[in-house]
Amino acid sequence: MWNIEGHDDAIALLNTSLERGNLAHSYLFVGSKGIGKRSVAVALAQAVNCLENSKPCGSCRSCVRVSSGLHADLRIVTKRNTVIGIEEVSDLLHDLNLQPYEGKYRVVIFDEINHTSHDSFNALLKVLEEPPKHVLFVLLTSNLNLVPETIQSRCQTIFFHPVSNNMLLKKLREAGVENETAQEIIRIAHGRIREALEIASDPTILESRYEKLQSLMALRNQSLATRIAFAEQMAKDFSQNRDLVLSDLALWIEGWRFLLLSAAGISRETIGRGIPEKALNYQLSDILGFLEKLMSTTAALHQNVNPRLALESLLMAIPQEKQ
Amino acid sequence: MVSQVLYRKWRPKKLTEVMGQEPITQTLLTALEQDRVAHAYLFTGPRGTGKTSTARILAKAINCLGTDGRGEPDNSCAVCEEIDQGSFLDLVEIDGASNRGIDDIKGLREKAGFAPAQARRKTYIIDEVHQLTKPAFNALLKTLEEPPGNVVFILATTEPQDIPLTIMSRCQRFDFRRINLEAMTKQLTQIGDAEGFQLSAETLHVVARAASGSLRDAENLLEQLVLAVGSSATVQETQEFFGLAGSGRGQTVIQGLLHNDMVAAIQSLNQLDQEGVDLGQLQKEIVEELRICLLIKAGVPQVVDLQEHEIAQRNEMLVGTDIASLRILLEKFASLSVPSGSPPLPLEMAIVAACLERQKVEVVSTVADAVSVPSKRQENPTPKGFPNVSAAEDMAEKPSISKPVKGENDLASDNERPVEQRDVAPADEPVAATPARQSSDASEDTDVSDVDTAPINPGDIEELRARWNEVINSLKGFGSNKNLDAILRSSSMPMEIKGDALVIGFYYKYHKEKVEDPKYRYLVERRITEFMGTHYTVECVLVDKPSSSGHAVRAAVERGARVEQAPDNAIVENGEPNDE
Repeated sequence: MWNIEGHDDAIALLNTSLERGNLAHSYLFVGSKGIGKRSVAVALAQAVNCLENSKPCGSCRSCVRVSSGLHADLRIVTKRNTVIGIEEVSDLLHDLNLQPYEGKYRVVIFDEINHTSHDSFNALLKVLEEPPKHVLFVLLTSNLNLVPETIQSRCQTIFFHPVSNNMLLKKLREAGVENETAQEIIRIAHGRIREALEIASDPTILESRYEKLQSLMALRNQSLATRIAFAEQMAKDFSQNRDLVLSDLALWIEGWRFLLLSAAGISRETIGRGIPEKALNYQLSDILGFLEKLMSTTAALHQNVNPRLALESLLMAIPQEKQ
Repeated sequence: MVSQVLYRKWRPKKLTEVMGQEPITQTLLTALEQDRVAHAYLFTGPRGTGKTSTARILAKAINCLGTDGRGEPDNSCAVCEEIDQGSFLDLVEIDGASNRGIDDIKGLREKAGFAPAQARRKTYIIDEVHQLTKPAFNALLKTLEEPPGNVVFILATTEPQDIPLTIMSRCQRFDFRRINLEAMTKQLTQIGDAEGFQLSAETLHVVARAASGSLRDAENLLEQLVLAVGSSATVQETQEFFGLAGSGRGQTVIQGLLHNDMVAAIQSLNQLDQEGVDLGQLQKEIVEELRICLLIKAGVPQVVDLQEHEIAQRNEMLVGTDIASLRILLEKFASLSVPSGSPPLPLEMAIVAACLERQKVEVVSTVADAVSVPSKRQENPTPKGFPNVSAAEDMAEKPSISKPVKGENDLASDNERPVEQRDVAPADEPVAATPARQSSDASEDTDVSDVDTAPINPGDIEELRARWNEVINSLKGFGSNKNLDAILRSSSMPMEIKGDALVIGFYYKYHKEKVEDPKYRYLVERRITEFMGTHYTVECVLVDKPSSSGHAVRAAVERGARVEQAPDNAIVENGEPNDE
């Protein structure tokens, strides 16, 4: 009764451990954002504290309290500012020595453990290796490269793989989506089942995405003045709604990826339905260069740069098509 | 429900059980037997090599009642049992990372002054000691140097570089090594037998290899493997589970890469992505496989620890690939950061970038081969998988392709002139030829360039010096800024030939360093080898700038100019080399 779409491997592994009674004391869940790590972690917290026989039942008092975030023995640590600081960790370490309040286990879920500061990581080392008997750690990360090896080595790592396209197709068919649209959705969702179902439920998402992409790709033929004006607008938007601009950039990257692939000579089927344009008169190296620029700008925007400057420089860097 | 994981269950209980650290455990045993245990130890080494375990065993051994502290702990006396349970008063294990302040250390110092309650010697284990603050370290210094007679300090850390030297010099330091494959496999076999896993020796070997020297990692991986795949996992399943080279998943992509077949590589990448393969793991696998290929190609297959047939198979795969291409591929892929669940784009970009760069290099060597051994040109493999139309355009744009052709022409036309004339007027090269002339020459003179150039007599430094401009011109357009020729022209002169090394003198340090960069040096060496007929390595030295050696000056003198001697410092000040 895990009630989670996909991730059969991970759940099977946890279930086996639960049944055999050899659950590890610390787990590291690795998988991209939005893939469902946290849901599984919460379900695991339900399972170890569940009062019924088929764990997690999802309906007993304990399970309900866990899923609603009220359970006293479940602690979800997220970054408050930019990182999970050492104060939070030492606070946590103190609590862990106490017996569980209402359940059997104190469960600590670190959401995005890679946002932990260097000192906090170190402070966790000992307790992750040998925590008190009643403690279960679940660390979540979308980027394993940012988790120190000393931490990794103390945890059991479980990978959350993207769901295969066939699986997604099956799910979308079940939801009554047409084949062509389904292919499109699969390409966008990239293995994230929740996102796929979300897009499928609202046809306007696909449509607006499509229009946006077209207008972004059309920028390459615009005059420098228009592009600068566009950059300015984007920078303004960025100060109000970061996520909107970042998702636009992601969309733009996808458009240029299509150009890259078609210039490299890949047939359309592999790429999927992208922008309705023929491969353009670009040199491969130009496309590659601009993609790199797009990615570095995105990375820079995640940090503390002057957004207007970064975006202007990006829009000025659009390579010219050869006539 | 939560049980002890393997790495806790199988913590060693005796010094001789600590795997792969025999020199250290032997030393400690001797110290115990002779009753010469020091008062402060520092254990350093990578994760999972036995630092904390050894520290605990040592604490037990010192205080063991059964052996009187002279040798291995017996693990059965009251003290040993209490230590195992963590209730022994006189063993204090401190987490240095969460008790890192000066106050913590002050508290420790005060308590260290009291006599032990029941132990022979009070033992302090400070784990992760690198996290102590600077004041805390300093507060510890005096105590660490001369602690009360019945106190032992054991510090343990993975980051010895963060430990102040003053601390280090007060401790007996033991560096724990990564555990070698043999010891690790032995330990895993022991665990596997005791836990009732049916894993073949080869599978355990794969697990040990995946752990890269950390026993804790190995035990963890073993546990995960058994849970996820089953207690009778095959080698193939194991490799796939860990994302190791040899699982065959990355093989198709690598095949495409090795053949410089962009389309095939990208297509197989996307195929894997659609099947739900994690691209972060795939990248790891590709890098590992490329590393193996590189090592095999470099002639050290024994390093990679593979079976005969696996090496043979890779040798087959590597036919037609040279070490330079492997280096390019490895460079592009190893530097990528591909998070788990990443879209395929970063890997696709790496594929395209690597293929583009390799084509550039191949064109360079094709041209180079054409200059030296014209007949070889046809045999050179042409890059595959390049898009037909845009490829041709793309390549035509690259100066590295058109310009060397011009270099050929220079050689060809030079051949027609008598040697003496060249000696007189080395600056007479068509440096300023217009692009239009070059391209028309290129089409007309292709046949002429196939005529063998008159090689310079090996060892004839005079002739090389005279024809140095030819060498330089043939390098036009090479280098990352396409300015290798400019660097050489403005600042270099062949000095002498020492055995098989050619010494080139440079007037500016900047230029010398540029040419010393292996990728430039390679190009220069290659060109000189073609001119001289035998292989020369290039050695760069710094020399004083002769007043009239600049090509501009020489050209001006040619046209009748007179050289005015300017003060030396004026030249140095104004002659600052420019990057571009």
